[in-house]
Amino acid sequence: MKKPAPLDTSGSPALQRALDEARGALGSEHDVQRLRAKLGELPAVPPSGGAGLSGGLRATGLGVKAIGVAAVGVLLIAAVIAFVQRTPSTPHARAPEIAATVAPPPEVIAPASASPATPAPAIEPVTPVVTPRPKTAAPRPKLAPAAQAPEAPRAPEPVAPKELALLMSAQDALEASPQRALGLLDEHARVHPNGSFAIERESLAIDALRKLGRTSAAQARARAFIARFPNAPSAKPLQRWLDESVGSDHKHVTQPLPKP
Amino acid sequence: MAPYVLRVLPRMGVREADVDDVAQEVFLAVHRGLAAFEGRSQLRTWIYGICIRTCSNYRRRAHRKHEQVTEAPVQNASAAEGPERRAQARQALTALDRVLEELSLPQRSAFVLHEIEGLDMHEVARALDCPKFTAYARLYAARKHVTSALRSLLPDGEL
Repeated sequence: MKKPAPLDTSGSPALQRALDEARGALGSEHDVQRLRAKLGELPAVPPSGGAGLSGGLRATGLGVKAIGVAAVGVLLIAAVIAFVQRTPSTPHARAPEIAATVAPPPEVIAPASASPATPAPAIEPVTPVVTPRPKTAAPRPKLAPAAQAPEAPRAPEPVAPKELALLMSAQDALEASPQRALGLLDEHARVHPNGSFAIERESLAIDALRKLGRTSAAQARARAFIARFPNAPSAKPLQRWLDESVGSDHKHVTQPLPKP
Repeated sequence: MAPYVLRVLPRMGVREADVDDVAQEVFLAVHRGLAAFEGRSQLRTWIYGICIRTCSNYRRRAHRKHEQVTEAPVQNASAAEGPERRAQARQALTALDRVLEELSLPQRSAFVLHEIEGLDMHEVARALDCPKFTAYARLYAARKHVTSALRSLLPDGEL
């Protein structure tokens, strides 16, 4: 999985300082201790409320808002713990696929600005030294809010802006001109056979084929997609579509004609 | 969970005075949705997604009330640092918040989740429920704006 090159802050110590400050804001003792105090007080309160509850609140000076935060927080933590224990097979080991069927919002970069003639708005230079972040097999701590530190900066591994622009052009064209979208996706497959967005490309291509009414081709490509990316979020909907469309074809073919 | 929720909310434009309320909304939404959580993403990524949606609702409400959603930033730890350095760091963070406020919410979300929260881009895409390349595009656009706007807002000589 390719990752974006890190944000280049070499020319802006202010930016680096701001990011350091923002990343470190987790350790804001004031905020964390305040919330922890609120969350931590509730278990000591008698469950039936009454004098103990109101007395405790008077003693701590907490208001109605704090009760809500505390109650929901404690409830939530218990629920999350129960949930995590209930599902020992954590999602961390899953392949990092992503669905590609959601249309992008209009604020994304204009593909034209990332055309081969014009550099994409990826502002970071290509970094010569690539030091991938070590992937730990161990899952993240299930619940260690107080100890959860900001994550380390990511490895400098650039994604080709042209590849990004090509896919975005294809997605933009999908509704109005699925044929053109398909052409762009074919170009993507040709130019970036090992690119970062194979899942997205294939999902878009299947969509384009369906819009063009090329059902058999869409079905074949969907089967190949599911075989290649069985854990992709879009694999299940595609399988459902395959089952339905193939089933309906089958029914259509094999259904006996009604007797006169 | 609470600490990173508390960290992300101010960067998403939630006023310090409103952080508790919005955090409570997040907790409620997580609690309500936990049973339906399918495990297709990491739990933390899923909670980030809830944070972003809750912030979006918060900002809409604030916009209707014509409120200014940003304000002075958060006090941070590192008491060991000198007061001058602390003041510089806070000034930088204030400037960053102001610049983030100029971004669209999706761009801001991509920047905050990746650059500050350290999520991988596939996690960012999952949290924002968008294709990965859209997440990249948002990140790149946000980076471009943040670096140029911050540079003009805080000439390097100041910090």
